[in-house]
Amino acid sequence: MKQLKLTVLDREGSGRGISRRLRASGRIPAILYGKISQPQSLAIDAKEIGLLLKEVGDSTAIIEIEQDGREPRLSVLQEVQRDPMTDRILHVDLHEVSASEKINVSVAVHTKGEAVGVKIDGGVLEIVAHEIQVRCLPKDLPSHIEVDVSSLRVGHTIHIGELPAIEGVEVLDDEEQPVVSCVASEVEEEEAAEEGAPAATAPAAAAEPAEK
Amino acid sequence: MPPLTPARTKYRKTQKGSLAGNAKGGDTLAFGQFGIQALGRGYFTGSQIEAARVAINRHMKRKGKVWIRVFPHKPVTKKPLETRMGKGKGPVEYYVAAIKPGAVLFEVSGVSATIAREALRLADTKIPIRCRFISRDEQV
Repeated sequence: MKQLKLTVLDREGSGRGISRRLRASGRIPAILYGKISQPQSLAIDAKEIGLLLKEVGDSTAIIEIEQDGREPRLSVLQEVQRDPMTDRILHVDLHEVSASEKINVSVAVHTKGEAVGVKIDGGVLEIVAHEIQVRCLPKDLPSHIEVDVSSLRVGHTIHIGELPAIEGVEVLDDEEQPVVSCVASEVEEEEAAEEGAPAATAPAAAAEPAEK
Repeated sequence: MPPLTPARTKYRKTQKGSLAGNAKGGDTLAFGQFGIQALGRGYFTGSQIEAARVAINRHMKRKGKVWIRVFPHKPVTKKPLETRMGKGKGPVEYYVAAIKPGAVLFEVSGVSATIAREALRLADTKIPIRCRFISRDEQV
C-alpha cells in the first residue's frame, strides 16, 4: 500500500468565480466526500498537489488528509480534473474511506517482462484493460497489479481470472475479461495502393438522401 | 486506400455548424500509450486522416498498434467550377471531422517513446491543425 500525506485548508464558498480566484492565488479547489462525513469543500496548495500527483503516478494510493484542528482522515483520489490543453489541475475529488471498511477502487495494470510473442514472433502487446476494479480494505490496497507477460505468445490473452490472487483483494471485474493480449501486427498491404490514391473526392452517391 | 467516408448518412448535406469551445470528450488517451492532441480547431478531412495514418504506420513499420480517434462525419459541399450563384446547394465534395482544441486524433502503443514521437510528428505534418504529443505517463 502506498500512503501519502496531503495538507488541506477549508474553502469558503463555491462556484466558478471563487474557484478561479482560488486558482489565481496558487490553490486548487477540492472536495472530500464519503459515507463517513458530510462533503467538505477544500483548498489545496497547487504545488503540493502537483508533487503528490507526480508521486502517485498511475498507481493507487491512500492519501492521509491533514487539516488544522482535525484528526487525520484517509481518502483515495477519486478524480482529478485537468485542463485538456494545458494539463493544469482544475479540481480534485477525494473519496473519504474508513480503515475498517472495504472500498471499491480501480487499480492500474502494469506489465512485467517482454512477451515471447513480441520478442520472437514480432507481435504487438496490447493492454486491453488499463485498470481493474478491486474491493479491499485500505491497508490491503495494491498500488498496481503486475501482470507477467513474458510467456505470452501471439494470439494468446491473459484474462482477469488468470491473474495471481492478491491476499485480501477481491477482483470485481468479470473473470473472462481480457487484460493483456499479444496480437499479430497488422501487415501493411496498402503501401503500393496509397501512392496512387485518388484525390479527395468522396462519392456523393455513398451518402443516402434524407428519408423525410 | 480511399479517404474515410461514412457508409450511410441520415442527411446528405449539413449546415456548417460551429467550432466554438473545446472538445467535450475524447480529450484523453483511451487506448494507447502515446497520442496526438489537437491544440487548435478546424476541419480534418478524410484524406488527411488517411495520410496521417499512413505516415504513422510507415514509420512504425509493422510494429505497434494505431487507433484513429476521429471520424469524418461531416459532409462538405462545393459548387462546380464556373457555375452561377443560386440553383441550390452544391454536391458533397468530401467529408471532414470537426476538430476542437483538446481532441485526441491518433493513439499508438507497442512502440518506444522515440518511435511514437517521430511517427506522430510525421502525422502532424499531414494535419491542418496545431497539435502536441501526449503520453500516458504524463497523464494521471
